[in-house]
Amino acid sequence: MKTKNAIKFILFVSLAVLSIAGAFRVLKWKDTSGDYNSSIEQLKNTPRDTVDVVFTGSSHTYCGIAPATFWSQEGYSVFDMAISGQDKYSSYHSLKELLKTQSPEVVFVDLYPFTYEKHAVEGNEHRNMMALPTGLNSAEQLKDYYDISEKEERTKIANYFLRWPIVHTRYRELGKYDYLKNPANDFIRGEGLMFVANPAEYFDPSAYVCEAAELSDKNMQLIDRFIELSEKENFSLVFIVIPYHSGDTDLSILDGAISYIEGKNVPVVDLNRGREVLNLDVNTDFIDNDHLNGYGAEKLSSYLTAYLKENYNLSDHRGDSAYHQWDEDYAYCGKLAFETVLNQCESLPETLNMLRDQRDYATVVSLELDYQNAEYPYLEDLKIFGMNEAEFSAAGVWVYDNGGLKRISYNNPEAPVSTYPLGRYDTLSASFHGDLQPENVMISTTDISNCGYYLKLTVYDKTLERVAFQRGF
Amino acid sequence: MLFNSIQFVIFFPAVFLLYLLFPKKAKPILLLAASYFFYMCWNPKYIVLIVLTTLTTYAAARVIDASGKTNVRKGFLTGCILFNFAILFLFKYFDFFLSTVNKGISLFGAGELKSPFHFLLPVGISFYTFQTIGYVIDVYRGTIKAEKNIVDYALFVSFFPQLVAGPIEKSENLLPQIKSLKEKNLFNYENLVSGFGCMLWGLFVKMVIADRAAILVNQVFDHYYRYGTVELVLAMVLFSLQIYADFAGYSFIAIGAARCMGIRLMENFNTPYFSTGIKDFWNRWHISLSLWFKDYLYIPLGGNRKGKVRKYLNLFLVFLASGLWHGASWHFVIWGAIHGLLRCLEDLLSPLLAKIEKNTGIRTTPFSYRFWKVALTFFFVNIAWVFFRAENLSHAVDYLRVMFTRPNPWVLSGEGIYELGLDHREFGILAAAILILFAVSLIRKKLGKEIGVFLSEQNLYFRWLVYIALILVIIVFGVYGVDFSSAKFIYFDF
Repeated sequence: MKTKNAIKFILFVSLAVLSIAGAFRVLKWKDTSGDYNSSIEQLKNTPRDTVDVVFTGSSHTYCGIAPATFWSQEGYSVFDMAISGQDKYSSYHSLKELLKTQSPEVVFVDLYPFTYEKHAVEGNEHRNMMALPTGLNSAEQLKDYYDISEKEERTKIANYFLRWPIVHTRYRELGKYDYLKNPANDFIRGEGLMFVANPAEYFDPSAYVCEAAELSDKNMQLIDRFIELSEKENFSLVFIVIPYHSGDTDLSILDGAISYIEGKNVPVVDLNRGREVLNLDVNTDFIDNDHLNGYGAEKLSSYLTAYLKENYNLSDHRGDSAYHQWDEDYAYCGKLAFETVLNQCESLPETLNMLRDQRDYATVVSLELDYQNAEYPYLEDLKIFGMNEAEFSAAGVWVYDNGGLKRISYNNPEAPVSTYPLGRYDTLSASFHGDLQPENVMISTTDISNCGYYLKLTVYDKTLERVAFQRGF
Repeated sequence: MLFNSIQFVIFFPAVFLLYLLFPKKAKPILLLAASYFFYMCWNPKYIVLIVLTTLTTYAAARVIDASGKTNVRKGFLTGCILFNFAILFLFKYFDFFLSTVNKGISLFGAGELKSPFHFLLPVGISFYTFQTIGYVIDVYRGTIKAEKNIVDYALFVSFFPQLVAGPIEKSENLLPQIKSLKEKNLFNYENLVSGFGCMLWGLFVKMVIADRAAILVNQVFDHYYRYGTVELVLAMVLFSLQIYADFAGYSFIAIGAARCMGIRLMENFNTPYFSTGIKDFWNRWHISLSLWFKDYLYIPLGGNRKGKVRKYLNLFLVFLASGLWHGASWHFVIWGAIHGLLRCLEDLLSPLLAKIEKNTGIRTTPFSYRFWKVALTFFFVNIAWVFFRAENLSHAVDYLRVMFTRPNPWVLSGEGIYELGLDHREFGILAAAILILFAVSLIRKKLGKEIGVFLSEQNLYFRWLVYIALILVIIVFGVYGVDFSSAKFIYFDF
């Protein structure tokens, strides 16, 4: 009887633990404001010992370092171990987390996190304290960041370590990718590139002549710990400063840190003060004053590719199937750039021409019955998709997918709803309720009806399962 | 250490495991050490008070039991009661007493008297003081022999599941169980199963219902002047559910934790909102306190043996004392007085009502009759709760004035009630949880079984399903964590 009860007890506890673990998997912290993309998830999806070069840091890093550039130019497998607002302790412990599965040859540590002690934004504190999986490493990270002698900070440590006191309230915000794996996390290499260009203020750090600050004990200790870690784990350590709009205070701290690091015979690549080598254009290469865009990232990454080639003997992994994620990431970055251009394009023939050979996208073409009123030769432009006059004159909804045009529906109010599967969770549906009416064309619950336009193009990204572009003509 | 804290989640399994591993003879020592540790997690200094109460009541009971002289017995009983009530008065009622005196003397233009003490209210002081005084009276009456083993007795006073918020155990129930710890193995699997179910249920009603309802209740009670009838009625009803879920939740956890170790504590709540009258309500609400007042105050005052006037006076006094027991403030006293008044009126008017029912042909057997009585009782209990929850007496009176004079039914058509701290989703969760509470209360009422026992009798697959669902609901929908400080159980302050 006792044995039977003991077995029942163990079975129950196991089931309960499994259920709690399942619930935690859904509720755990995910970077929702980063479209559920997270470097730690991407790292988890990376095969062991495939990363040769690592960059740690904040948004400066994930906006400024494009692994795809290193890959396309020299076949270097680069990973951005970056988190929004990454503090210096999170840099160190994120790197330690990476070292559990990877053996990089070179690690670049951005010095920007050394310019501050505490997060100014609560969201960044959450991100950094909950990004790493609960364990010894994350416990050490919390111990490093918080003052254990303060009661309030001890409570924070406990909450962050246990996670549940914080994440359980996420039941209010759960989305698709809390339940499903975000496919983008399978191949993104930690970067968060954006190809939008916003003119930045001109900033010349060389104009700032300030005295190097005396390095704080904490900064000094952490730099020493990075150096010790590099010796223990046998990687080459390089400190870097990625260009940003740094003021007097930051520059003096950075100068102090650089001076200390150089005294330890560890290389520093200061591309903030030394930004002229990058030929950055304030009008085209920045998202804002502090962040490079995809074009700026390409310049910075090209420079660093050359730096790596000159100073280290790294392998070219292109063509090696174990490194397919870098191929996919390269394609993804190309898509991001493509979508940026697509969204900026207002000409129908140019838009159609850009979409013609894209196999990763399905384009929904929706034409209202009264298209003649527009007095625009839509048919001429649409011929590039294989549209003919007979098809066109009846108007309706088509999908251009894998190089072929397929009719989905006619604009007939009597006809039943027509559907076309686009992704695992997305179906195109068309049912005509009259010209200009809403819900004529839907992708799942998203209304992509013409609503005021004679012709509407909607581009669906089949890999990332999202609407990438919509425009009426 | 709160029952709904991570500390208790670690503490209880650790103590339980040690309890299983320790030899029988050492079990009381283990539980006593655990109980003192549990109490000291709040304020280590106040353990002195428990020890003092334990030693004085232990010694007094031994003397009372051993002495054949009535005056010695009476003297020690009186001395012991006065001494322990003096501690209670000093720590709980002195400030209230002084502020009342100050109000009184200020009428004559006298200056304010300053308190020489600045004590924090020791948690659970009312509970263990009443439990120990009950024990000494039992010994005096000869209901129970004085306990000789100081460890067993100290454990009776401080047993951690019921130390800070009851149930206020009768010595004849708890002490023999504690004594038997050394002789037989009280633990068995069935107790563990039903005790665990009881604890989960207690955590569910406390964390999912009480603490969620509290968000709206606090918003409305703190700013009642901003709102109208709809919001104030809603908050009043939700407070009724909150205080029940809070206190009954605590009692379920206490009873469940003790039962896991094979110790049976008395039931403290029996579907009180299904009561058909005030007397019925007090037979179902905080049963251990009602019994204490009946055994140790109402009966010694003469009960119903000295005529009708004395009976109603005694009843009224008991309810006043009950109000005062709940808190050192006039609004608690008034709350008690309302219940006393209603209880007396109910008793006085019942023959008249019976006559009216008979003459008008009102049938007393249908559901509708019973429903009406339950609804009426619930209404009066709710009105009284306003005095209990309000900050002070004038606040309570004003709350009721606004509630009865500012009808605003249009609020029900808008979004107004979702702007009181609980949005649509949170309202939905609260409503669903209250429905579950209602269903479980029906089971209790119809089958006469509390939830832990009911679940332990079910098939394994169903029981496990319920247990795991409860665990998940508590950890996901429970109100705790960074946005919500671990709210104290309301009854801890009493």
